[in-house]
Amino acid sequence: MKFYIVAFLLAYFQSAVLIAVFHNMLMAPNLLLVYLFLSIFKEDNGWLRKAIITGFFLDLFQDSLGLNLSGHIFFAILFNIMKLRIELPSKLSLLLAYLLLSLFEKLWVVLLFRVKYYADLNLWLLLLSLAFESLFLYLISGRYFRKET
Amino acid sequence: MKGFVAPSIALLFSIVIYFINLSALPYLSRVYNLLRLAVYPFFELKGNVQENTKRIVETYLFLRNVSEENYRLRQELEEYKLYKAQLLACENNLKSLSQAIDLPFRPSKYSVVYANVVAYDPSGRDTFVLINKGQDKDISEGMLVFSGENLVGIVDSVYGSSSRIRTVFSEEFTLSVGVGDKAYIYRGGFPMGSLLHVKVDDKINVGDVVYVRVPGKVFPQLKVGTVQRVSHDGKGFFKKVDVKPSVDVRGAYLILVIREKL
Repeated sequence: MKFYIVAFLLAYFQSAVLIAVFHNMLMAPNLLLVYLFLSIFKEDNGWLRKAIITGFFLDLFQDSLGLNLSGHIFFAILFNIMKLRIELPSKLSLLLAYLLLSLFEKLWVVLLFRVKYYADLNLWLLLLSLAFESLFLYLISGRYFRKET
Repeated sequence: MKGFVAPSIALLFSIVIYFINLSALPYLSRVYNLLRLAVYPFFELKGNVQENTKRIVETYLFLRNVSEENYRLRQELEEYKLYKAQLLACENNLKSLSQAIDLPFRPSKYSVVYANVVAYDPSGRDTFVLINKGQDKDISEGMLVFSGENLVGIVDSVYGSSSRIRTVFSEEFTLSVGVGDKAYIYRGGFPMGSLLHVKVDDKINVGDVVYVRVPGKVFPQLKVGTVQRVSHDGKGFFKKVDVKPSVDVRGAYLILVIREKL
């Protein structure tokens, strides 16, 4: 239950504050994706449900039913495939894996959006957004690794 | 790979609902709206938060721009102070030189009035503007009005606390001007004014600067415009010289009136 409450609040914060700051729905940092990533990383159970719920929360707040939903599911599938093949023993490997997957997710969402509407692709904003997400991941992932040691 | 069948279907389904805009379908939109209604207070709050955040970001960007502009203007001001000091040195040299050769020299110091434009010519030809200073600031007809280094026009009518300025774009505007070391008469016009009675032999080229030159007065060298076209039809004694006024009347935020009649 805690996961869903936190996810709801993060989706809310993202839609209300981050999108207003970044002036761009597609390139705003997706903190909810970071949270989903860590959650799936720690727990294998119910990853699809979590991806659907987090994506749905974002879509609900951003009025874009299906866009973030598909992005999160796509991200979760990729991450699970990656987990089958690669070990993520340290914070750095986690960061690298996240950056790669997040980039794919963003490109996926942009691609879907561009099929339906027109939007500028601001690469600087994309980099800034990834940097924010990495920082957030770095800050909240410490807890998981400390627990392990 | 068996475990990825359901996720793949979910992914496909999400793409479909995105493209068919499921939330807008007649029956499902009600369900979706009901769902949104449940979190309506959050939506309202979200809207307010979003607006305020946008305002804060915009204010921050605006203040940052203002601070950069302020810094640039301070630098410019320092340059002007240096320039003023140089001018004062020139004036002193000129004074001592005029004393040495016994030539009368009157350094001119005009008082100026700062004013804002409050109304423009509704025809769009910028033939006149209205400023917010008038008799209350001792403005009278025939005073020169300028913005930056460019001449805007001449005070045409003065009212209690406003004045009407006939600009360099008005066809009723005429003024004694200089090009190089020669004096001419400038007549206004939109979009271009012209120089009157320019002899065929006079050397005037495109790009020459036309500035204020009033006989018997030492006004600052205000720019009226630049020569845009010189032509002669082969008949008569005079050339046709078109002058493009350099002032941007609608862009002039602050204008100055020299308290000295022509």
